[in-house]
Amino acid sequence: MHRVVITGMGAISPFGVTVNALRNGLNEGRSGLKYDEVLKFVVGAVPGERVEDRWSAGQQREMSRASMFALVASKEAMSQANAENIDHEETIVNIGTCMSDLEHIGETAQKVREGQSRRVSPYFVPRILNNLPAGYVAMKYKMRGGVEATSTACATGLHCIGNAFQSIQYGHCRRALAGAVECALNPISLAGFDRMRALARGEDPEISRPFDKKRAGFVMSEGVGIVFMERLEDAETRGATILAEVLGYGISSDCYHISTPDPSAIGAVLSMRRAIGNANLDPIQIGYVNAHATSTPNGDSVEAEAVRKVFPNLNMSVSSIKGHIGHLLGAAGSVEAIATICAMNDSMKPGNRNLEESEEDVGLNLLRENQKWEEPNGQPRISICNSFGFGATNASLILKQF
Amino acid sequence: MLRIAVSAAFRTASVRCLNSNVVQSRIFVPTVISSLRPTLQIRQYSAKAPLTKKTLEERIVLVLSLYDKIDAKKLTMDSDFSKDLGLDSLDHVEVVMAMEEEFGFEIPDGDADRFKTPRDIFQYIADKEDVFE
Repeated sequence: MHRVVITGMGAISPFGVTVNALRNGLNEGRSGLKYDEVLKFVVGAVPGERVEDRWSAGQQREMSRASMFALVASKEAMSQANAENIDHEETIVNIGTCMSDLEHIGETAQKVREGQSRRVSPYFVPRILNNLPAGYVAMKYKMRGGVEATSTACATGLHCIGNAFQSIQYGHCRRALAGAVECALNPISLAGFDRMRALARGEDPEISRPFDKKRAGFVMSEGVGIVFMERLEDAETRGATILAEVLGYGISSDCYHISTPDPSAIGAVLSMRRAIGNANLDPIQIGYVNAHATSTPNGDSVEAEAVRKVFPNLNMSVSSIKGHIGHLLGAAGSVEAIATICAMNDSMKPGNRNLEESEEDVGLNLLRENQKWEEPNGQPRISICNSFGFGATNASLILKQF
Repeated sequence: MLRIAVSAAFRTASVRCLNSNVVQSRIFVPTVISSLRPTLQIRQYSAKAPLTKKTLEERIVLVLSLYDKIDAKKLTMDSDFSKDLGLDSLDHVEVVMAMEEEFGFEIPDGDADRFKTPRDIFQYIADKEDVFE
């Protein structure tokens, strides 16, 4: 078994392009969410430049926005890891996404319905396949270890990182570029999630309120988070800067309902316990839970209950950064894992933005604002990240400051 | 973007060929589509514009040079789409789509697969449309 470390990270979030934009936004406790006059929802759109403009008109017809996001974040991760010019024959790529390019599917369906099948773009299929962001990235860096795109709704990001972590751990590959991307800020997906009554409605940008009494649904966002992982010994030989070590990974399924978590919290409990067991840790060694908590009434309560069960009498520090950046669906887990690594390295636990009153405080330290993270008796800081997705799929990942 | 390039090609080509019959041919719509849109009235007074070898070649070159994945500087009637112009099989489909829109008829995939150079397209359309001079 190999020890696995993260040596590069790349992100695009509602705070902007780069991990630093995310890190600064969180450290300053800002919000990246805004009401969109056209979409009629508060959303977390990527501000500033139009990322598409980095590509030619022809490439823009071929590639979905998600593929472009994946390429931008991969470049950041690869350049930080100083791994752009090393041999990638044994590097795997696992970059997933939750939703495909629904607008493009809609436009194409319209053409077919009107009898214009001959006008369907030859790039229709490549644009809507969920593994194409990973495919473009692998092609760019000649990563021949394999291309996967685990797709597990809102747990996609953590599953991708977790699966890639295990592939390196067990020696199936040597390095990995893993994470997830989501670009689904369009009227179709908003209508779909809204019909499930999952979205927060209204024009107030502070409606994403994880664990708060007034929470009433999530705010949809777009973005990407990608990490470069390798064996500890490889990183040390290369002289790479190690950002964090991945210690453990656990998954589970609720088997209860397609979109509602089991009220007993069994799903989240199992995935966290398995991750802790996989890392060979005692719960007391973990200092912070980066919660999935999307600001839905049900989901946040069940996760709070799960944390109480897994960390009894520990008054565990818990926060979700979805009050700052909203819910990045598939990309949530990977972006939040990156945020957690930044938090450990900055010795600062992020607070729950917009958390005022809560019925979930019992037995938990639901952080109201950013809190200094004291070094636990000279030991490195250890965190657990959670992601749960529709289809009753759960994942937890344990990260250690290096 | 292809749509814009093609419609630009339409406009430019229409201006270049001042023969009014050519402009008429621009509103040729395949019967399948017109039958699906009963409200859309299209009056077709004449047959398609008579093509000459010269206008045919000009129109092919114009459409290709407006296609954004082709470097117009490298384009000749004998450039190989894949070897000289760097197009892949999916780009090839886009080129054929542009030709179908320009000349207003469908090119079966089996025929289109044999287009290696602009001259192949020229020859094919000349044969189909009886262009002799």
